[in-house]
Amino acid sequence: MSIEVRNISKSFGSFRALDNVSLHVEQGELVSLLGPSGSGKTTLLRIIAGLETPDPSQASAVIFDGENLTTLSAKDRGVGFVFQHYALFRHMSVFENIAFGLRVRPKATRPSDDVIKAKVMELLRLIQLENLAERFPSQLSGGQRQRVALARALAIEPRILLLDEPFGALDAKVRQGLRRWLRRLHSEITVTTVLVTHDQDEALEVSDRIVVMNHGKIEQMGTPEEVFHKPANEFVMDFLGQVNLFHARVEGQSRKLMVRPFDLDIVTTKSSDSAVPAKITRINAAGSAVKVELTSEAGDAILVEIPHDKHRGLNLKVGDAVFVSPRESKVFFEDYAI
Amino acid sequence: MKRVGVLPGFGLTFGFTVLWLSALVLIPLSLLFFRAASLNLREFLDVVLDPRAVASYRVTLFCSLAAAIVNAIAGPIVAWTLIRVHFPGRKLLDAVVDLPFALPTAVSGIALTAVYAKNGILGSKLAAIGIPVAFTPLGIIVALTFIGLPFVVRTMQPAIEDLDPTVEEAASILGASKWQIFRRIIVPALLPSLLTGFALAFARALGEYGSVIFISGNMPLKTEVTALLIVTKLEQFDYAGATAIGAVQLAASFVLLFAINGLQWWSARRTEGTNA
Amino acid sequence: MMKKALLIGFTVLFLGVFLVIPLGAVLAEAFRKGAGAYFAALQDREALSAIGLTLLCTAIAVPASVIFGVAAAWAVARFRFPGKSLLVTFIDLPFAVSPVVAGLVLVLLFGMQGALGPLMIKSGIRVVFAIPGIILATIFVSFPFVARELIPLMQEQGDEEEQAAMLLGASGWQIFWRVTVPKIRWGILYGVILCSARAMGEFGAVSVVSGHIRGKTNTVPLHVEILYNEYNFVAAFAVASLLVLVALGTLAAKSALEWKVRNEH
Repeated sequence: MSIEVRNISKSFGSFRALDNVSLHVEQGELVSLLGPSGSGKTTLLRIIAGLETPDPSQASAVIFDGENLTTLSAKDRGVGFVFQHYALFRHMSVFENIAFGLRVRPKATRPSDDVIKAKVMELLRLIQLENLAERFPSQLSGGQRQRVALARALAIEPRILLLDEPFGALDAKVRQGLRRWLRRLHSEITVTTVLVTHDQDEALEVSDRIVVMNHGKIEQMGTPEEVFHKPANEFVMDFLGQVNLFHARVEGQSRKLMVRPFDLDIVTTKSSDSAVPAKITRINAAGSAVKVELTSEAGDAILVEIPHDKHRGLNLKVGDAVFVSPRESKVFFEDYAI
Repeated sequence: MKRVGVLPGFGLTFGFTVLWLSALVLIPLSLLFFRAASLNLREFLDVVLDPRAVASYRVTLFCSLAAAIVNAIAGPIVAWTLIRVHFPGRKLLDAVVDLPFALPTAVSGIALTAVYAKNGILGSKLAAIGIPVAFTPLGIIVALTFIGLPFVVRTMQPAIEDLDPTVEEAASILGASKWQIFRRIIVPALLPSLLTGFALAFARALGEYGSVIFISGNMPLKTEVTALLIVTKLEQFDYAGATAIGAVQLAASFVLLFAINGLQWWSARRTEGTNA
Repeated sequence: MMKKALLIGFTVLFLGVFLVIPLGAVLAEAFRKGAGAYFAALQDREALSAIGLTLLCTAIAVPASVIFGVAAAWAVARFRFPGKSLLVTFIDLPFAVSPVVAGLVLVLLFGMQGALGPLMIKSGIRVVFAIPGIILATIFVSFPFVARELIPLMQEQGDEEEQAAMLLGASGWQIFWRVTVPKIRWGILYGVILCSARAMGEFGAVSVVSGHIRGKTNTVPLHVEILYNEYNFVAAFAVASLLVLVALGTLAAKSALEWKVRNEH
């Protein structure tokens, strides 16, 4: 099932949450809406689900596989939705939570109790919680609730699956595991999925494509590699990871240079014109790379990430005077208006 | 009507609510003002400014105010004790605070009269030292204190529960004395709820009937409250008189209702401000 | 230590003098002439008829409060619309108005000289000084209880569970019965307890519209008043002791429910 969103705007009072947004999601894709809070990503997700109505406009539409759903109630869209805080029915067992969507069907299309039972047990196996069927939501851990919420959404065999900050309320460790599990699950059931997150690592890890949003607008759409390595603008560059900012004159014009910490190198002798003298203020060798903090002569703070073996070879110490130079030419230029 | 919300049922529930309130509350109450307005002004003023009526306002206002003040002094102490001091029987006493809400006012009235009359268990002792309670304004104040107490205690308890003891600790680490902590931390935090509780108790007292009429003695000009005067006029089939005084009573209720809403809005805004 | 004793002493004394001693006085007066006189007063034909009328009023006023409360809370807590805070203020009006004024407006509306008086005479229905008036007065003073309980409760609970149910294909009534009602049942019960206590105990408003016809339009509190004014103190306090029992039952039920809800979370 493909999703098409056309020319959607949404205002809350004087606040413009979405400003003429259009978006296309292919059948079977997992797309992340990534952006800071207030960027409009959750509003867009809720509009796709039918939980919010967009500002009325002739041009705006929400289309699933060519079928225009703009005026269809959320009840009839057949969308699977996982809320940030799960919204599990607190007075129902895990089993009854998952069975709910099947039990409320009209008599004519409602499966028999046996079919419902088989279906729920199958989903419980999928989320690896077979032995917790009779528990209540309050007796589950956050990660378990998350999975029950997902199973409940999948029980109605949704045309599309929408996830609002699905891992937002969980510990870092649990998040890691669930991310990989979601990715595996998605390759098994291949339902078209849209996920909202403000965590760039999460988006980069799980998505087929990422939609970067800011101030109610889409800044860039692309594969994780594209948005990470070829950011369309300064906002995307900044939002998708740490950057060092340099002010420089290039070809007589004032420019802003943005360089990722791992695209910088540390050398002990001035090797090229672009090498900048700096003093080491802190070295942190814990983690997958060594993080070296420096201060340039102009007083700017610079962060550089170098591999451990390189760090050992250079034998750096706090207080050393060194040079920082951009590795390769992956430097991001931005017009710098004065 | 523009509405925001995605769940079904707005038309049904909103329509029913508005219809119900209009039929049962708004239209009947406006009718009272409408009827009062249709009296000629002279007639209206004669009734409303009649010495007996004016005396009843004075008794009602004075006793309601006195009772609300007693509750504004005793209520915070009771509320504080029930939240912060742990002792056996605390839960039981806490439950008893709601008694004036649960007990029918007529029963409260005859019970208080039995206790505070000249031959009552407390009334006899007080009368012996020259303080008669029943059938005097003091009796009315006792009854109104009784019915107003839960308003102050129940409004203040959540505010006391919300007081963060670490703030008091922080203040004391910063060198504040007990008096300074009380004066600068506790009083400002509890003041909005105290004022709201005071206003609620006062409002309730102004319209009180059942618990007052037995203990007050109902002597015109001395211990007759306005609510009773309305009933008396109705019993004499003086509908115009009852309507006029009823309109005054209702107007007073409205003023207090809006004052209370304003107070609650103010205190909500204040607590939001400190949390932000 | 001194301070603590002082606080406890004050609280016990204040609550004792104002709340506990009067309660004891009712029982003491009721049994002044022994258990025989006590039970005789309760078995009096007029007392029994007053009990019947009070139960009838309560049986009508409580469901009215529940239906109104659920509808009002659904509208107020689930939707945003202009004039909402005004609507909530209006729901509180019956608590702000003197019960005597509540009775008065019913007389002005349904009395012989009232706005609907001619209609009443023509149709032969009597409201004022009759049972319908007493029921209306009881509904007026007690209907906001459930709404006042449910509005803050439903606002605090939020509506995500209802949204989830809707996305799973549930209809409005299915959402209401299967998701909302289980969430708010204790709130409804709490409101019902307070509403019943008020409905059984209402005095001022009912007194104005009742006409005090013994054995016919007397509720229990009105019966107490009549007996008291006839200096039949033992009977008055005996009947009042029934209401004291109801009040104590109310407090116990309320505390039990508060305890239960606190322990569920």
